[in-house]
Amino acid sequence: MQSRSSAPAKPKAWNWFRCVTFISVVFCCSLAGWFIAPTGDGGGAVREIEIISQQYGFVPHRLVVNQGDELRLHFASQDVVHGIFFEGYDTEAIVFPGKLDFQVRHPSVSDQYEYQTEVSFVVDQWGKFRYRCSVTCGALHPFMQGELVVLPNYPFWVGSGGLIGILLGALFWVWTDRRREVSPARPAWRLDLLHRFPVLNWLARRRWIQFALMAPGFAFFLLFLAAGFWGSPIGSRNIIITFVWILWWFLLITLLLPFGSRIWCAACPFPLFGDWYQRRRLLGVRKDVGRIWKGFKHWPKRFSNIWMQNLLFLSMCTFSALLVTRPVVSAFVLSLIVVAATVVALRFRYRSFCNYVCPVSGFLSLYSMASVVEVRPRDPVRCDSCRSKACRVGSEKGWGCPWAQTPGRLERNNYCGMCLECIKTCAGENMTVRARPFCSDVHIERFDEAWKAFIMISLALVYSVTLLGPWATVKSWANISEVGDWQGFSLYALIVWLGALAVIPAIWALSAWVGRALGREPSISVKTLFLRYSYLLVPLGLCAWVAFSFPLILVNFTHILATASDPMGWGWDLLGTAGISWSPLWPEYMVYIQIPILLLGLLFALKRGYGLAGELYRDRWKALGSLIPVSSSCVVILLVFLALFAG
Amino acid sequence: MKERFARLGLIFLLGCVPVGVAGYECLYRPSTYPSELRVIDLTGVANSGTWTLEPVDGLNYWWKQFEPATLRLTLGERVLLRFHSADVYHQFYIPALDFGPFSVKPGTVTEAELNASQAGAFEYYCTYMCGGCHFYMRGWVIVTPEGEEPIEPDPIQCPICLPDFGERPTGDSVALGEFLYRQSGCGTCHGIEGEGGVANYNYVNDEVPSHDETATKIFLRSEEDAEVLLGLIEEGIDIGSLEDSPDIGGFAIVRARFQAAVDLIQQGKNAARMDLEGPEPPLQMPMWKYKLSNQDTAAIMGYFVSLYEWDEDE
Ligand code: HEC
Ligand SMILES: [Cu+2]
Repeated sequence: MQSRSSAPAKPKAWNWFRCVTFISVVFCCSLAGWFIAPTGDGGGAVREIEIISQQYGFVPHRLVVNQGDELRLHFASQDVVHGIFFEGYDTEAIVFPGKLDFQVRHPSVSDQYEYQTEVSFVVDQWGKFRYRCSVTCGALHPFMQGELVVLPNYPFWVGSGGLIGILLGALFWVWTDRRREVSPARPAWRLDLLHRFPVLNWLARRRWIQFALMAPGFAFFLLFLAAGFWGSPIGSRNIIITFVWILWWFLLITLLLPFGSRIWCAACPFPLFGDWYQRRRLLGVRKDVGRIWKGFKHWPKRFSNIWMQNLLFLSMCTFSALLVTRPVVSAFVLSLIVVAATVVALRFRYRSFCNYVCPVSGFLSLYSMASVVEVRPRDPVRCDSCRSKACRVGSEKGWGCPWAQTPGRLERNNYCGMCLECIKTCAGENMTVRARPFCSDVHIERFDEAWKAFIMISLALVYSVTLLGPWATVKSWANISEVGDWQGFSLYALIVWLGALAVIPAIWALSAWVGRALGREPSISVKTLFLRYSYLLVPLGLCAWVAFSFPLILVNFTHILATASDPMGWGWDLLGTAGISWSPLWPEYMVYIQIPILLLGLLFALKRGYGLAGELYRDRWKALGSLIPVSSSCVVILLVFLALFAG
Repeated sequence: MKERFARLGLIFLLGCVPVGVAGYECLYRPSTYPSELRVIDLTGVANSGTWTLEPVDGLNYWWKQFEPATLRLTLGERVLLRFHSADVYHQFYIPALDFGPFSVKPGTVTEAELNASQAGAFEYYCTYMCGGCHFYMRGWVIVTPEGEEPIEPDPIQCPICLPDFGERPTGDSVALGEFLYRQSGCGTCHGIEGEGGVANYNYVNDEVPSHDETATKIFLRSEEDAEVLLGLIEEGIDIGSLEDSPDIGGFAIVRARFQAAVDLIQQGKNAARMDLEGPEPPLQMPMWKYKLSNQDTAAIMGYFVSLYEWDEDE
């Protein structure tokens, strides 16, 4: 526990007081946000508005109106049949190009459409609502949307107030820190899951467990490939798109990663054949387990970092508008990954592909630091005196760590693929899976890892603009295969690459530089601060990605149901859900999920930031000084997200 | 032992996928339809402007120009048409058989039973605008009595869509008008170079109006007057709101007629039925106001005026 030498009296009450005050500060700032939110001019106006649809956006793309206004809307389309669905206002229309009248329905009232030339409603709820295309109108259809902002936009202002409030509250927190010295992050609680839940213990020790996860995964993967190559070219009707980029992505980023670390890597089917080749076994362990690597090469030292993953991921994401909307592109890329994983396994030792090449692995590695579980030795001291090193080389119970780690010395989650081999191999049963607080691994020490954090936050921003934003121009830049605007695409790609590799890192470098000056501790270098504080982007980035992913699943969940019944888009109906029509789930309440997640991100970023600063600077004011620039950068980044989601 | 189990299990599991998919599609699903029905799958493809019989999938959709389908049926045959869409909303309509229009929502298969009760060649249409090639999305259903030679239908005026219409010309408004006429697909209804001759089932005038007589329809009296009008269009002058009369005979009426035509192009017009009880004519003048500006429309009108052959003695 930390030293509380200067606060002898009632530390508990004192901490309670700090907590309550912190919460009050956040609350008051949010409240202030409520009161400064621009209210418009009272409403009651009648607004005659013409909304024109075009692949893939609306003109106007943003409507700002006052609560109580009456909207009289006219729709038209310039190219193909589009729909327009007003979140929160129970109105949907289908708009036909070349025709003056359009079909309207109010989904909660009736499924029947009526021809009309005007539809009107009074905007009686405040906040940001979107109008989305509701009829498949081409590749980027799922992202075609406009924004209806009804003033006063309280959620945005309250959210912004909350962000500022957390920053101020953090200041208060540091100010009232009575410890004479900020001690290094104190060891937090851990819960030995295998000890606590015997079932898990039993499962973790089964040899078949990983095979049982991977094999069905591979079967699904084959189905996805078949659908991608020979199924419907419409993304939202093809299982490869809905299951991989909507369902899997959502589960990965919101559940598997934060609550299971790299558990996905244990289930991932892609290395199945590579593992099989290396081990010559699917389940059991060979007698000569210690010698299986004879004939396999070591991965070159120069590439023993995650730079390749960084660049591959960035390249892949530059083409994301194709990847997530064209089944055939997805199928092609996924096949490529499988082939690459297998080929690398034929030549190189261990899971070299996973460790150094796989584009997905990179961000799993980064964000697994935030996860609430870990694989660790129960007692590291025992590992030091261990002779057999079975966790490293294998035993009759299991293979040596396929990730080339020394499990007994694990300190971070980053390169542990959660395959649980070490749990089986350790003769002393010293390895276990533990639960722990969110964001317990806090040390980023390499530039490749820091850049991963920059890349991830930049991509979250880019996607929030291209995929969740109302700007048709940006979409058409990103949508290169259909539009063929190479100039626009180059600009887009340039922005993505520069942003991820230069701009955000530059902001961090600058923050670290200023932070060093404010920290007044010459022995601490800018480099140290830059690397350490890049960690703030882990909780921040993860939360931003989670907030980004909610709209994907809530808006598109009907597509998942439909493709479960009709995976190929050929008109099957296996489960009776193929005919389900598109209807988003609580789209108007999305921001109430997103904003708290963003606030949580900031909270953890600042909290861990203070811990990290405390390790470097013993003096809390110095620690605070060094932290101010990065914290402000974090707040600014989150304000941008907030503006994109709710503003 | 266990190892062998696992291996067999893996092979079985992986084999299940292709076998399952193919088996379901090729064996099981056809068996769910009555055996006397012939099942025909038609896929609407916006980029090619076709209803096609070819399979459209992820692999071929992005590059292939699909062939328009010609449905050949024998008299008295019953077929089940299954309409798919490869991209956007389409409609399928055979006015002469009073079949449809069926809206084909992307991602859902629309089924309809067609009774080939009448011999002949019947044109089918897509009647939802579905992109740049929409107006080319036509084809034939040919019903032949058993044992007879199939009827050869008249050629369709603009049978295939060649989506590359070149650069938009600048400067010359007649050239611009011609370009817009072709690019917008006006020719698929009004005939190549405005010559007309395109049949429109159950339309009062049988054929969609031609445009090679627009000059007289707007009461231009001479070639010289037409030249003046083209000059005004070239200069970008809005004819409809032109107050002082240029050197054109009977300008007031020319102006009114010109403006009426521009408005008609901008607003579109429903084609009136010949037989009021009969099916709706498949070709309807669309509303162009969101695609063509006033200037563009005037340029097209200029192009129409330029198409007229003036007699020497007039
Ligand atoms: C889908 C078929 C179709 C297309 C494409 C089409 N039209 Fe028409 N158009 C018609 C029909 C049908 C009429 C007759 C309407 C009526 O009954 O008066 C018509 C009427 C007209 C008229 C009035 C002619 C007259 O003599 O009354 C003009 C001018 C015209 N169209 C111009 C255009 C132009 C310019 C375009 C292209 C930008 C175009 N049309 C494209 C079907 C079409
Ligand atoms: Cu069509």
